[in-house]
Amino acid sequence: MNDIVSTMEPTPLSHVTVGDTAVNASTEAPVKIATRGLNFFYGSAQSLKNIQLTVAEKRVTALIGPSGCGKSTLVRVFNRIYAIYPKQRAEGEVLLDGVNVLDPRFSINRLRTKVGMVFQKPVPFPMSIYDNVAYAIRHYERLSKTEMDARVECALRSAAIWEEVKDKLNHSALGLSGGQQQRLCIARAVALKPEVLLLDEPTSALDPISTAKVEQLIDDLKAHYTLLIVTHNMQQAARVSDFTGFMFLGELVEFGMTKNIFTKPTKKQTEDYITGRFG
Amino acid sequence: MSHPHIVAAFDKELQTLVASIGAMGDFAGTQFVDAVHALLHRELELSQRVVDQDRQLDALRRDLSAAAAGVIARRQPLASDLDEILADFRIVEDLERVGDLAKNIAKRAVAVAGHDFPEDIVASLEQLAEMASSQLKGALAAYAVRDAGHALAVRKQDEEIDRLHTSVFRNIVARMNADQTQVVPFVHLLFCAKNIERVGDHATHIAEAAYLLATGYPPDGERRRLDESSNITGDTFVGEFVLKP
Amino acid sequence: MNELAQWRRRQLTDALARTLATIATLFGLFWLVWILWTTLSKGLPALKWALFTQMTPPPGMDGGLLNAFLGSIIMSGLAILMGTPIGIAAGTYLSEYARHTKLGGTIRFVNDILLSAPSIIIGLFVYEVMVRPMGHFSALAGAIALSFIVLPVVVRTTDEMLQLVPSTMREAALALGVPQWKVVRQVLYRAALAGIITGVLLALARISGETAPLLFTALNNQYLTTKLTEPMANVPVVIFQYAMSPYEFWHALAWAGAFVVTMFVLVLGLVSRGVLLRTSEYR
Repeated sequence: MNDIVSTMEPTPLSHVTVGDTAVNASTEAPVKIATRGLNFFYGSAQSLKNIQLTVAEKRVTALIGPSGCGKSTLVRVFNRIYAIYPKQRAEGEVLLDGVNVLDPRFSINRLRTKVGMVFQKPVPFPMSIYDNVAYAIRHYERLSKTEMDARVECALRSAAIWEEVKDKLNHSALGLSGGQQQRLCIARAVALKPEVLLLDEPTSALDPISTAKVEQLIDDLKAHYTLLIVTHNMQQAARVSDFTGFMFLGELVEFGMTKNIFTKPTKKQTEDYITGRFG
Repeated sequence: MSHPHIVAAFDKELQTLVASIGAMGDFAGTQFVDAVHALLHRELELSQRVVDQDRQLDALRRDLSAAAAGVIARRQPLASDLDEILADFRIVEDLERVGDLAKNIAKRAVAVAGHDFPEDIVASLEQLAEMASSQLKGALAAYAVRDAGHALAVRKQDEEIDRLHTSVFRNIVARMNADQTQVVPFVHLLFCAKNIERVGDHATHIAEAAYLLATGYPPDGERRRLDESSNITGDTFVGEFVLKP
Repeated sequence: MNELAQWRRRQLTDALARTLATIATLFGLFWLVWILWTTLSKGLPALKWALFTQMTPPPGMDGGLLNAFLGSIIMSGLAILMGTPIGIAAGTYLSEYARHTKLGGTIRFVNDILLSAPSIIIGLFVYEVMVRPMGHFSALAGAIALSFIVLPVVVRTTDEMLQLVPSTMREAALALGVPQWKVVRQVLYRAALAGIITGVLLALARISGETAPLLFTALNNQYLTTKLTEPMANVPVVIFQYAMSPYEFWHALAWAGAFVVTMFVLVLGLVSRGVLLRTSEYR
């Protein structure tokens, strides 16, 4: 499958605005991803309605909202993982560095090397820890053993799990604890050196200490990656993110800087949700 | 804030705090009024009672601060809820300071026990205290019902207190210049006047907090400070002094 | 007092149910034990080393079942070799590429028919298609007939075992930008391996005892041969022949053969359970 990205003209992003709040994320940081008129359908049911979202580069953007609001659906558009399910489809544009990645001509696998994903439930592959991390690298690059060792170590260090597993790289990944498995999945995702990391409720299944470790990790990772995190836990969104978007019933109701959203939200729906007054 | 919290206990905790602050405010107000009365009318028993009861206010402050801290720890309030808890903390501090000022006034009653004061000064001091007391009550009422207009009005009252305080200050200084043997008791009166004015300031803080809670924003503009007492120099004499209402 | 009476009643019902269940279990086990015991005792005269070292004897003479065992091993092994790859491929297609499509549904339906087809029909089919044109019976035809029995079993288990792999694992692998066929080969097969192996073992256990298809395809051979184009001896047909015969020793041989096959199937069952248990420790 030929990747003909280079023949597609990037779209200038200077005119992209952030929702309808006064905050314009692009003035604070360059825009990495922008959606334009994004709609999403499960069969005939529409689950995302005209989403206009901007994700700032090398920042953490959080998506919050009640169950069924579409935040996971939205995040899963960015690496087109929905494409494996025939009844799901997206309309509109998603611009990654100005290039529309929803275009069928844009190689899905290439997209997924730029946009990595970590899921709610840790899913280590049934192989050794080393092989888990090396898995995708092996598909894309031909490295010598020492080079691969270095890459694997680098990825495991980035995920703050190297010290715990360095002596058992050949053991099965299934023997790790839940928190360790999740950090392994993060290592696996960053091994390919993507530009964007999508985190779909990464700590929902973890105990408080593992959660804290992953939150620290997110703080470290944003120096190198653009992060988009979906979370049910509002305090977590307030802690780790720079920008927050509140979604409800498939719409992006409010978007802005985290400190504003959680102290002075402009929409009543947002206020009701974050203070736990949702009627 | 039309919907109640999904967790009813959260609302209950906030309501309890508001009610407790109201009670603390009433108590502090009573202490203040009693202290001024005891000083001006030389009622030593009353003044001693005020001094003793200040302990209760301190205990209230500790308890209410702890309760508010508990709400933060348990509920992790955000947005308007967070504003509310922070306002509660501030108001509790203000009320405790009002209590301290009252105690300070009451203590001075012993020092001035043997002296007589000119009627006009006593009258103006009582007027000043009355204004401060009503301002405090007004601020607490505005807080309890979240009335923004009332809060603004209370805030404006502070200007009058400042003006009256300046003139009382001048008056007392003139008297001190006139009769050097009366300096010490008059100094106590000066402090008393200053304390009353400070009570007014604290009441204004409370009103500003009430305004914030009612509207979500702090009141516009700086408060106008019309207290000129810090500009008064020593050469003021009775004859040159014109009593201002 | 009411509570005590209720409790007593519950105890009684529990004891009654437990007794009935135990009796039912013992009833089922009884037959199995009887069969094993019968085959063992009746085959005892022939259960010596000679069983595995000597060929099928002419009537009246001493011998063993060497060529039958060898023939069965060769044909079963060939059947597994032919049926498994196709079965796994088809099962993979059903699970990964055609899970909810009409075509997939049709294939599953046809597969289920093949799965429950009477094996004699399969034997007849291969007879018509291979044996008649070739002009003679052959081990190859026998192996092919057996592979038709192996195929649907492997298709079914592979399909179901792959479907059991959680979709998040699929998504996690695909999210790394690895193409689907690689994900299937390197991740999904590994995850479903235990189940797929069990499926193959179960298929093997099934064909170990199939007589009808071999009757029409490989028939039998008195001598030891490994040539696939010739008829080859096999245990089920030998058992059939010898059991029908009037010779005492042949009867004993038939029983001994039956006993060995039964034990083989039993062991296969235990091994496949062991395989499943060992890998499920990790989950």
